[in-house]
Amino acid sequence: MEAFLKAEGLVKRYGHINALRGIDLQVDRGDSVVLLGPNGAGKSTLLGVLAGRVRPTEGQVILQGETQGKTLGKSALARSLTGYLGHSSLLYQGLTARENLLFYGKLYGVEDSAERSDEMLNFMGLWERRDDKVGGFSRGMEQRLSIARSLLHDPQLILLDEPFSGLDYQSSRAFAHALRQLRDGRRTLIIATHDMAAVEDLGDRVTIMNRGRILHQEKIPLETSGSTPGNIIDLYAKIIPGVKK
Amino acid sequence: MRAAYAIFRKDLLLELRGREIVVTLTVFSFLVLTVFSFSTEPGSPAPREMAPGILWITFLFAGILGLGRAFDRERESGCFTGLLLAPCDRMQVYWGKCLSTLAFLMVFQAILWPIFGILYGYSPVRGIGTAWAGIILGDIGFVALGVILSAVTIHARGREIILPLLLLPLSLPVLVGGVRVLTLALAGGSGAEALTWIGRLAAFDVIFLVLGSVLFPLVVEE
Repeated sequence: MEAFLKAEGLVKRYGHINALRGIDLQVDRGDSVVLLGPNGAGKSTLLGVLAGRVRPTEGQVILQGETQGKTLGKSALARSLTGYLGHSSLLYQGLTARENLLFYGKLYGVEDSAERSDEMLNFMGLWERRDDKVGGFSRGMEQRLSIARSLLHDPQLILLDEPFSGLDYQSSRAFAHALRQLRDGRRTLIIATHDMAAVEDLGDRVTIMNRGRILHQEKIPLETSGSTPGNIIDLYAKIIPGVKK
Repeated sequence: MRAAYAIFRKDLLLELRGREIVVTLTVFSFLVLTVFSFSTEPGSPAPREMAPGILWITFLFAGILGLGRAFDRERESGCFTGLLLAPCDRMQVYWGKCLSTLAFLMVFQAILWPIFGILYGYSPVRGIGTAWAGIILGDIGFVALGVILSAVTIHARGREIILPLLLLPLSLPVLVGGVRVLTLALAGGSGAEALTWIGRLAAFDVIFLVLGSVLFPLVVEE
């Protein structure tokens, strides 16, 4: 069976900086892949390329059997299959939570976007704050609304870049709970994170990157040692030079 | 054009809530027109003779200010990326931003028009049809160029300087055409000559809009 998502020989250069140096990746439908790596490893660039936000210098992305053009990012069809949560929330601070979702619903061509927006506000526990401007939200609430935005069009591929950054413990756990609900075998998740505890919780596979390359991929639970956070840190420390346990 | 309309509506909603762009542009332009009108000897015919040029230069600088503000909203929280990730032809993002920016410019210009008449001694209804045909066509050309250049410079350091440096020279055809049409309209001059200039402005608009629509999807990717 052909992989749902395939990246072949992805290279991305920004001037003399090589952000990606030949990435090959295959992800099956319904899989959840956790990307680990130090800052500057190329995780965000890889997610940007997979989302169609960043144009690769070389290589290609094949999504659901369709090769994505290199010059114009992903096709509109591929973008409709993809939900992206980046470092920024992509939300308008001057609009209310509901207005933001209604706008993105219209933009993404969601049928009955009002009903779908309300459904997502409920799913993310933001119904009570639906008419409040996003500018007044806490970081955790904004992050939850942001994932509602990225799921609004019911994407098959969900790309999450540091989804736990800036969240307190409680918000982080609530957010992880929402992500677990997305692992329904139908949606494919790729999550870039520094949170080792999230690996076992959210991933079927861990992929460790450094300096624009994939250095290691392994199924969860780890075959040799089990997947406690401690063992994942051990594995990470073994692969990434200079990391102290 | 579903996505273009959604962007247009969203921009209008944000502006209705904050009134940031229209108020800023109106106050800025009012100050510029007032300062120019007092810059010569009392009773001198110079301000009146230069009025069309002064008004259009004011429009251009205010337009740059407006474009900056409109794209600041897209920059905050990375919203521009959100627009680009939408599963629509990226040309629609361009058209949506063009429509809303054009609406903001025309609203502030409509407010400014009677003030301009009072300050420079013109009847606000004299040649109004021809004058506004020139203003609207000039606006379309300016916005067609301005939106694509704003998108290119959205993440650039020093974009406040880069945008006018790129946009002002490229807007010269709009400035020349706009000033000519306005001069002829205010002087009650030959309709045929005004029509010629209106035709040239319309041709610039078509060229700029076609170029903008084709280039926008290419220039917005990292």
